[in-house]
Amino acid sequence: MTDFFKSLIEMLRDPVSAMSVLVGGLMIVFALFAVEAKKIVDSLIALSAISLLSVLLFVVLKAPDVAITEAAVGSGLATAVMLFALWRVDSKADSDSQQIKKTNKQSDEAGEKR
Amino acid sequence: MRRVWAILVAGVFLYFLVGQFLPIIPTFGNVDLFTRVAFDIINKSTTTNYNAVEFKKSKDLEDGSANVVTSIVVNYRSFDTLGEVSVLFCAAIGVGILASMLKSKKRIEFEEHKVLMISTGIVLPLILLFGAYIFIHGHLSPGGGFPGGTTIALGILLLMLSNNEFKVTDVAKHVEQSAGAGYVVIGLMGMAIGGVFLINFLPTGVVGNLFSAGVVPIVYTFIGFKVGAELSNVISDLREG
Repeated sequence: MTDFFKSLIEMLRDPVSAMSVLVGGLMIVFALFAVEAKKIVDSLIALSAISLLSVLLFVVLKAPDVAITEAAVGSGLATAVMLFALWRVDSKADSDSQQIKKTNKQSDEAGEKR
Repeated sequence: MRRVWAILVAGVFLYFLVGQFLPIIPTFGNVDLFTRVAFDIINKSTTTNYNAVEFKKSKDLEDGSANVVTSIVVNYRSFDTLGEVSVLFCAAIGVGILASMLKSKKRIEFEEHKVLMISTGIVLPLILLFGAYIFIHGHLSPGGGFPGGTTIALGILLLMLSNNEFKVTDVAKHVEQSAGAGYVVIGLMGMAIGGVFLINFLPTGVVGNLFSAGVVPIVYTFIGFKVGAELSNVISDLREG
């Protein structure tokens, strides 16, 4: 265990790898947040942040082609597409929300019975 | 009934896999490699006749693009890229069908914001120009048709966010069709001139010039237009009710 911490501290002396460790840790934090968030919109924003941070890692790993594609698709377009789809589904929930609540209750009861 | 259909389809699929396709495959280790296209590339000597490639000096190379990734994606493995483009096309069709199946026909509208509208007018040409730059310079610098087209689609998305009256018309569909057909036409031209589908039949020129690498910039321009039109269609399919 002490060897692990020693090697970690030695690795953190190099600024590039220290930045990589920081970015990777932030990505893990955002991933956990995306799973645990109550609202789906928050999860989408966290996913977008993960893509944006992975762009930095791709640049460090000298893959600029992948970095450009990830910045455009992952953090821009995919988030927009998922947000639009979410709004479309939500507006459906607004129009006949009572029916959906009823079906939700029924499915909950069915789940408890099982 | 559905199960019967599933069993029928699976049976037909298994018949063709086991009865028709598997006997064609040669046994392991007994493939005649010289009948394959990749034979020349595998057996190319890298030690003899080695000339260092110099930027802006080397002329008429096998593949004249300065970006290695592009020379693989659009020159050596161009057929894979054609498949990738068609996969994206199928995905766009799927999104369109799913969006039309949603119950709510309400169009997504945003609040008109004056600052956003005016700044969109300033920034949008620059975004479109940058997207075009990415796919035109795909053989010189990182990037290519896919990220360039996505950048153009993101510009259209900005226009949608700022302006409620904006709609993607049928022009996008026509652009997409003609660009996709253009890619195949270039492949057929290579077949007519060089004998192989999608071969690089134009002179490759000097490494690092804008007009170099033969067919690669033309193909990437087609892919950029196709992807840009396709992704704007996907966004507008999701937005319009």
